[in-house]
Amino acid sequence: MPDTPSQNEGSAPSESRPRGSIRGGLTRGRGRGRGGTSASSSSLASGTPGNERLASVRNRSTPGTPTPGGSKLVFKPSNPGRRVKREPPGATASSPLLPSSSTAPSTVSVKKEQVRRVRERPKLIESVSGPFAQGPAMIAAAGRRGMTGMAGAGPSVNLSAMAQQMAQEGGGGGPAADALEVVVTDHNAGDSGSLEVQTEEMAVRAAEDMARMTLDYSAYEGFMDSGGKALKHEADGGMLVMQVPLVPEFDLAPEIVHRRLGRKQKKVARQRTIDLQQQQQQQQQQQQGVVDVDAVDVKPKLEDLEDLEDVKPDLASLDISDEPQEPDADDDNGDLADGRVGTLVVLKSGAVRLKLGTLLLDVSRGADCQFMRGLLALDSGDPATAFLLGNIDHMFLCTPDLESLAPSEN
Amino acid sequence: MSDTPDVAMGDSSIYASAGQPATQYGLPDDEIAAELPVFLTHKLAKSLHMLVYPQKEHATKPGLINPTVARIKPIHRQIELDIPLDVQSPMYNKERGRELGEGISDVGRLLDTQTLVSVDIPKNSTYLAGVVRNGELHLTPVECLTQLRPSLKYLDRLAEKQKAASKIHDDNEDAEAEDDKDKDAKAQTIQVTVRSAEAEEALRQQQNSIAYIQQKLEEEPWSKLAYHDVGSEESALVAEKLVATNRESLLCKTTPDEYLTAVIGNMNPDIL
Repeated sequence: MPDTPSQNEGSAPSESRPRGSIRGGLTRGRGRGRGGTSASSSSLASGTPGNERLASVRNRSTPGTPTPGGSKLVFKPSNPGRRVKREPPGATASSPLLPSSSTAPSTVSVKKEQVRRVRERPKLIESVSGPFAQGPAMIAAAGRRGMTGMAGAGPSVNLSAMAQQMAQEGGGGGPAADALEVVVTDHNAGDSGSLEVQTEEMAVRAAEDMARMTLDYSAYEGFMDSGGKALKHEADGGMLVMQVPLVPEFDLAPEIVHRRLGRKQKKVARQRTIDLQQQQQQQQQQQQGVVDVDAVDVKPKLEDLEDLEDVKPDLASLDISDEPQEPDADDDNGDLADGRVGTLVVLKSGAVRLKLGTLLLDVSRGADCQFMRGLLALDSGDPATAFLLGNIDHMFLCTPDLESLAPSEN
Repeated sequence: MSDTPDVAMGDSSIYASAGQPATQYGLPDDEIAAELPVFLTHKLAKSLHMLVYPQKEHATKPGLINPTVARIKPIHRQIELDIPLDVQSPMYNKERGRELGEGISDVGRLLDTQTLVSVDIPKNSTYLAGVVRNGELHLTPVECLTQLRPSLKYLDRLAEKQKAASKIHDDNEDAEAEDDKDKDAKAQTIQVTVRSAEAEEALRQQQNSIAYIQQKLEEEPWSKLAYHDVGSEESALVAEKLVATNRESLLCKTTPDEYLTAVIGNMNPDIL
């Protein structure tokens, strides 16, 4: 190997080779550090800074033992050692949560110390209050793990105090069957001493808070202005679209149908009366200058008139004036299913509800739309015509209120 | 619901129950601020479309989109709108516009219109268009949801032109090659596939189902569509039909159980 110096060469490297040269230096491949005698190694070892070399393979001594030259060479790898897990400050050996730490040995290795801490440290179950409280299932599971004594202890229990009490009563050693289980995480590591446990009462209260939180109050602005007054005209509020899962079926009340039918019949009777009058007038005009002695008396057939409901209409009750009548449902498209279907109520809390018949719907604002939407009335007849009615400014989502729609247990 | 005809409600009726607990609305702890009567009308129910412009901002004022030409295919109810582009704008690339304009005409015209074609979107829910008039909410069912997307047919025409030009070039080459081909004829392999009559019928039906519809759509000619923008007298007259004229209260024929079953489904399939 070209890099391997000869014996003679290595005996006096400092004389034959210039210092720092690549051939005799440190940075050359496998020949590094191969020297000859201890003298050379010592001279190398005491060479210029950064020129430290390991002893030759032949003369390499065990680490820790002094070389014949006098200095002790210890191999220190440049790789960092294995990372030692650092316990959070609250869960140290001196934490009050742990059993008495006065007996902690000081000469135990790091690994043994970790094992001991894992074995002896009680597990803390992380708990928070408010809407993210633990559900009943978790509370029941915690109870099975030995927290049964806490259910009747009041709204909150100081776990750290209980743990301390258990520790004083001699809770060292391995985990007992009814040991406390609390998980200390990064964000509650600092206040592990004040962790509270959710009870059933708190869970119920949290559920009620969540139910109240589901009501969306953003629909308020779609129907009320800033002064708390209801919007009156579409120019104030713009066109809106309501999305409902299903539109219930509506029909007219029987008395309204009867009244409208009565109106229709009267209308038909009126029209026939007018037609008869016009026919009579035309006949009179034709017969003005002509006297026909043999003319047959034309009388209307009573059999035909008997089929009509009103043969002789009561002029006093019928309105046959020339004034235009009020527009009727039959005048517009003839669809009888138009009318009032319910009420939209805006509450002081900001909630909006829609009542259609007996159905109650929650009204909330729909997802914000980034693009333009409009309403178009399209008539595909002949000629085809399209009318753009306006932009849609608000979108509302109607969801059925299940509490009112669900059948009662009774 | 009362069976007597209801007159138009004024301010006094809206706030008649203000301050009272909202017990009948399922929130006894809350107070009523205002009550708006809700009316339903079907005058425009069969012809009302909700247009969605995916490429226009929400803040775009109505009337800014002024189509110059509108077309319709009455049977399939597809519409096209030609929106003019501002070719004088400094942001308009005239060179590119001239290239793309060849897809419209051969005269060297700039691409000066954007064609929006309607695409129907299947409805997963029921939409009701509403207007608030004199403290009353008037609702009309929406027939369908339509998206207006840009049509890129000018790119298709450009591609066809290029293809035709390259085909002419290839034809010339093929004519020369055929002379040589006759000289050295080679044996060609022919792959024979035998299909049963039933499989052929099924395949034919499958191909015809989509292609047939597409073909019918393309065969239907465009008809002229008279377009009245928002703010015009005609649109204002039609917009009045969104307001219900009947004041009578309607009876709800759907019970809560039927409504829940229709929305959620039959929770007890064994019970009919």
